[in-house]
Amino acid sequence: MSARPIALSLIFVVLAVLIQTTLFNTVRPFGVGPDVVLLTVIACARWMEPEPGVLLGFTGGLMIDLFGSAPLGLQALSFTLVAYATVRTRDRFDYSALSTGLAVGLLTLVGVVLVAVVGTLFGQGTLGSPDILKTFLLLPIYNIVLGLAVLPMVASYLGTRSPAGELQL
Amino acid sequence: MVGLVVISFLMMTFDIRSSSQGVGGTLRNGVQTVVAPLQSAMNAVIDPVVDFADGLANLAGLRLENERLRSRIEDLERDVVHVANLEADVSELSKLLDLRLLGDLQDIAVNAEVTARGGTFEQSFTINKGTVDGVQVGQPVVDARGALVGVVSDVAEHSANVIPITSRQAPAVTVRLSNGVRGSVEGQGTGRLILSILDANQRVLEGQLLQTFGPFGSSDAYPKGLDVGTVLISSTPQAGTIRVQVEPLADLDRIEFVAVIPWPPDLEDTAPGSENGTELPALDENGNPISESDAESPEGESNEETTP
Repeated sequence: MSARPIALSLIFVVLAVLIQTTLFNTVRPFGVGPDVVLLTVIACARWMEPEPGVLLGFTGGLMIDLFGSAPLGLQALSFTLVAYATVRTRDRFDYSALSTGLAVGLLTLVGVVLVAVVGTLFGQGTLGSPDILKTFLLLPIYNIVLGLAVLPMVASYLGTRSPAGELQL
Repeated sequence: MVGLVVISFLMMTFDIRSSSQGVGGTLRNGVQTVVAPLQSAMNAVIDPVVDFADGLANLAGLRLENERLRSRIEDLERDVVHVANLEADVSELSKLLDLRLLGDLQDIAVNAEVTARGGTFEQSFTINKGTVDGVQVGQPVVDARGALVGVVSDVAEHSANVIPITSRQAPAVTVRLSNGVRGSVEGQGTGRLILSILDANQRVLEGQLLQTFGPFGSSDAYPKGLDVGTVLISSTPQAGTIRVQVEPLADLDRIEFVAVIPWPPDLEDTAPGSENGTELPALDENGNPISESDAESPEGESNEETTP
């Protein structure tokens, strides 16, 4: 895999971090904002080789961690696992637009639940939040809607796909 | 992938053990310093668009809001008369007790704009003022109405990270209810707070206002008299204790502008004319100390400007 897709993916993730921490700092319908960084990681990992895809997830999560007060590595862990799940299941994205949307929604849900569970284990009390169910419900929906724009855009830049399932554990 | 997962767990462990002050804190400060100008530029583009869209979305509700505000103004005008009388009493008593009033604090507070927020479940946020503006770790942060928002957790040169009072990492707040009962309020990592009263002998009522009651004992994280929140549900003492949820007054989800209070005040910068050496320094609107002649004002005049 050439360096171009990796560089492009990094640029996408940095842009997503900026958008997440600024635009979706204020635009939070019903008190919940989308997770654009997670969506971008999913969109990029879908087209990247396994190892760079997982590494991109880690990088994106770490960037978001650096803007918050939660333990450093919490989102990095979650995004890494979501990127891994993406490269393992990406072939199933392509059956139809509906399957793509469902995949994005499910992967987002996995990421958010991971952050909540691991965050709670590390003393953040996230699962006790009164808005937790609302977040679990709305955030994947927002990401599916935003995915309508983000996924085709990323696909048009990252081009062809590498073989799936070659990730070395 | 396993390596990355292990690295993530190690980072979390070390970050928690170092209370975000070690390498993690340095990294956060560095990244925020680098990214803050970019975020400000993006906000400059995004904010007008968002405000316009927000205005359109709220157009239908403006009439109701207008009526509600008229009614509120009438209530407030009645309160003003009452408060004016109380103000004079409070001012005199506060001097005697060597306490500080919110009015003083607002004069020297550092106004800042919220430029960024953390992740999905993160309530912490970044502001566009840092060490060059006099912001320091541990200083309390209030919203435009003076309601307590949180404390500064990390400071870079031109930005700072603020932990909201609803976070478990924020220091506990010693509070006093409107009926004089004292208690302690702590964040739960959720959107709400928990009020604990250990020697409770009377009910706590829904809607009761909680205000900071520091400095108190060894806890001087917050100045006295800041609004904190309101009790959510009436509660009766159980074995002499009450634990009840509190709704913060500050809208932590949508807050855009805040003020950082230079607290505790630097005693060496005491304003000229201070009688007891513990009053807050007099600063101009840019945060610079004003001259001795400017600082001195008639006794009655300074009382009139003080707002409890």
